[in-house]
Amino acid sequence: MPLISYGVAVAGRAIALLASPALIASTVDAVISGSTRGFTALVLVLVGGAVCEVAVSLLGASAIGSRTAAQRVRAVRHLLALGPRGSLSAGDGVSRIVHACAEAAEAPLMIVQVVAGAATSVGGLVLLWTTDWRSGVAFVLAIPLILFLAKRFLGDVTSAQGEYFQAQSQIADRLLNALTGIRTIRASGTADRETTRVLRPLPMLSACGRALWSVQRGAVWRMGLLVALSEILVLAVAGWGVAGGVVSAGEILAVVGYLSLASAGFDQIDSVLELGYAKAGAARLAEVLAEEPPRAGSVFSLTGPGEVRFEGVTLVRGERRVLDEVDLVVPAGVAMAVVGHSGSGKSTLGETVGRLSDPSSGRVTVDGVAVGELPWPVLRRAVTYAFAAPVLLGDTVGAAIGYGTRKSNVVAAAQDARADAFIRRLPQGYETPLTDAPMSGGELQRVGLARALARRSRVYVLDDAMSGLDSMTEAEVGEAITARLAGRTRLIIAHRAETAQRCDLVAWMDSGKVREVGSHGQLWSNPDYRAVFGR
Amino acid sequence: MLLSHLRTRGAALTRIAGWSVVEAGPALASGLVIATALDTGFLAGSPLVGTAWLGVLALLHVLRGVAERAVFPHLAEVVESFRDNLVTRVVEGTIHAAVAHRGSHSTTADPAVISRLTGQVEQARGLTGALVRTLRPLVLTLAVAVVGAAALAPVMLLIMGVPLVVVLLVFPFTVRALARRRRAVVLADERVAAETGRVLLGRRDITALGVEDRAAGAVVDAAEEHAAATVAQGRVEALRVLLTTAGGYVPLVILIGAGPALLASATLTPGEFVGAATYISAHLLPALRMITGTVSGFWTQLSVTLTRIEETSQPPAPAAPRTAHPSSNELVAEELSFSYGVSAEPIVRGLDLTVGAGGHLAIAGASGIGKSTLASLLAGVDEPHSGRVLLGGVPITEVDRAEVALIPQQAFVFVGTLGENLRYLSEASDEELDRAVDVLGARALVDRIGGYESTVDASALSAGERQLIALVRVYVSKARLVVLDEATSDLDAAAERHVERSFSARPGTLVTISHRASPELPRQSLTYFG
Repeated sequence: MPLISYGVAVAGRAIALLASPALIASTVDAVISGSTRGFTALVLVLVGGAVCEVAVSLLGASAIGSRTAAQRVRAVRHLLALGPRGSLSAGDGVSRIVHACAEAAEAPLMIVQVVAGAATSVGGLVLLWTTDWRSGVAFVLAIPLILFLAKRFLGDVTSAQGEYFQAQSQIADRLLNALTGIRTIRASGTADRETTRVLRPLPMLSACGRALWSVQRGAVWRMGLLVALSEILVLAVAGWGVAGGVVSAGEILAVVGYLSLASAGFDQIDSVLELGYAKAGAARLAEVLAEEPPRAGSVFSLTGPGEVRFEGVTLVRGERRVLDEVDLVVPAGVAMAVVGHSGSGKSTLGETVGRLSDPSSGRVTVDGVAVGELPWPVLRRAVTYAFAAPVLLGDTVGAAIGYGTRKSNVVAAAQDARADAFIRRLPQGYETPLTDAPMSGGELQRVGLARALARRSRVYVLDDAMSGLDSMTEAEVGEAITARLAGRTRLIIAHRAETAQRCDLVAWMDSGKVREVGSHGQLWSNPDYRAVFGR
Repeated sequence: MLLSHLRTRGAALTRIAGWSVVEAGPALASGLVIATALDTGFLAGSPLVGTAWLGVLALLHVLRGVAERAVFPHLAEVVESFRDNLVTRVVEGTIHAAVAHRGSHSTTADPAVISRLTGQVEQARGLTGALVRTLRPLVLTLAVAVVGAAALAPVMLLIMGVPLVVVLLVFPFTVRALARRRRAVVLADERVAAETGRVLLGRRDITALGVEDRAAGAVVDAAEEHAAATVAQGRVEALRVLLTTAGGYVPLVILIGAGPALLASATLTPGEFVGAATYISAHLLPALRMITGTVSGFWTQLSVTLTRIEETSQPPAPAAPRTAHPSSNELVAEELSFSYGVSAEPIVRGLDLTVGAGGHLAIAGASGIGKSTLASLLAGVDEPHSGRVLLGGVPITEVDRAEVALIPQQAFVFVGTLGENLRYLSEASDEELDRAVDVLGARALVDRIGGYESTVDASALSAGERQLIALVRVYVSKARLVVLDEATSDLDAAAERHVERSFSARPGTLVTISHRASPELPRQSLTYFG
């Protein structure tokens, strides 16, 4: 709707623009011959044009505002549906939601403007023709050349613009990357060097920027000159008309007016350029939306005690087989540790249970149902994660623990995760805003654990979620978890022998395969197994 | 900011100004030429004379084309170098601000910086470009249209000048109101960027918790706030458009309304009357409309954007140079105290310790009791509130950074080749790298990445692999004091022990900090209770 009323206002403005030169001409002729005929009509058209002009700004702002918001909401929902599998880096994603969405939202308005501009130009040409057909003919001769130049121009801008955006994204990504290493940079005193490194793509950006100018330059000056010379040609023709008595002096004004309207069409290099921007923006947004989010299934009921099975699960990343034909049964209600050297595929195995990653082949089942068959809400209720480096969501520490659950005992969960004591020492306890709660890695992990414990699930995947705790705290938390989650299936990815020892079973992974399953005691006799723990 | 940049581009600006005068030629001459061509040529029955006059106009247009072509590289120079400056400023300001932010051990990147880098800088570039391209010829057109019309008949100065002055007087007020609205839009946009960034950085957790809808809510709110701010800005804009369009039409209406009287009194000939109307309708009106409309919009946006960039990216304060090279490796802490706030409980209180040259101090303690702070103090990254840390008798905060290395838990691997990452702190040869890689057991990782010349993608590495890279980097460095702050936490236990042993054998003093103690290495140890 706003788009339609915007179009109407733009059209009204164009009509006023087209009507005024003829009215000015006839009024001026009337004045020269001593009357004021047509003066009122002229004033009315000018006022009408001004009103439309105002409406264009009002409606344009509201259309751009609402459309941009709609695109952003759509894009962010899509990126969240893709989740951790999305191929965009966070920095790139932000840049697309902030900018590409705005550019894409403006695209139809720009098209309306460009179309209206073109219509005004064509209208100007037609009216030029009716005012003095000889002038019209003279002008038409120049058109094909000008059109040819304009067309060539648009293509060049789009590709140059794409390269420019690419260089820009590179700098943005380097900057975000540097910020993740800020403590190292601070300790090494390498802030200046980092600045230089982040700015390394700058010359490329600069070159792309200058390339855009030179693309414009060729088109702008050639077209400017061409348009001006064709105008003078037309004026000369009209002048001869005046001398021959077929054109009045006032009509010279109409010819000038319509000429400028007709040539404004070719003068719209900037809007064509902006259309190029919008095109590039729309393409960047389309890239975001083109990535298919994973599909969920439709098996709504899940009954059983929580048995997890991996059947021939293989996951290939690039050329690496991160998981290689994994067959593993995690009996219901059992705490199974997953151990192995760094890079053996432990975390990835955990990811496949809650579909944070999908296997390339094979399947993972919970109580006999493949996880791919479950609708998202069912799967999320069935599988809960805790991570080594959790990202807390929500406004306060308490809200972060209860985030996304309707009813939960935040405090009890925090107590079990041994997070209660330090949270109470925060300035406003559980109500402390996350931004005011500086946490060490270990504290963050415990809040992340509390968040997992606050949720009731069939299966819990604790991915190295206690690596930052000291041995004593870990033992305490481990016992609390055992008590709280008794009878629920747990997959505990761990580095420490003590953690494995506390579990009922251990799956020992090596190069993407399960090497052996057994109790920690049984496996311990194998020196290769002890080597995993450095013993 | 723009002005000071322009000052450094004097040569380009002088050329732009020179060419601009040539560009204004046709606008200045058009009305005069048309009036003369009509009065002495087409209306006087000698069309050849009229055509000749138009030929003069054509010549001026050719000159204008040449000028326009010539001016472009200078415009590009001004605008693109300005954009380079802004990008540099934002990057430098962001990194230095993050470095100066005391006591932050774990870092979360502020995604609003992306909005500044790609959005605001880009906007400033676009606006500066649009301004130098449009404002320049427009201002000249405005001036020469009035001058040209006045040359036809002095009364035109009154007819065109008075409404123009009125518009230019009222104009600044609308610009100011617009600037306020515009600022609101920019702030709302930054909020969108910040909320989006928070959400995208937490994608894995959002998916794992199944809270996509709720997490998107914050972004939705910010996006709607932005939409509302945009509409509010549109209202002020409409008001200004109304004012200026009306202001542009008034001279035309006056000229035509007063036409009969002007012609009757022979103030204007018919040709001059048409010429004067040409100046108004073909030059003054469009130019005024563009200056007060589009161009002032550009100007407002530009000033808001530049202010925002200036506010958020202050250039770094110069730091005191650290140039001392201690003669021994003995590490001493005396009466060390540190707390985060004036009223906060101190995290470190009255700590004394000595680690002999080449010794190994292991600090173990429960999670979250300030071990990282202690690491920062010992490495001279943070300054204690009282007491001091000495390396070889020299205050640690004066020691050359190359002499001290700290590896935090969150290892920093950047976009670049593996070699660049490993040579971050030194200029080690391939052989030295090879040796360190073998000693620390990183050979498999190096092979998998594809050697030192291959580009590292940090996101494809596990946390432990990133730590290995940081460890090799420090191992080959010249640092005589190495502080490992949970730097091996993501390695498996075997690798962790191996790394610690290797660092213990490396020349220099070693401090390791962890929440667990592996008991067997010969060293000095400190169980730390905060």
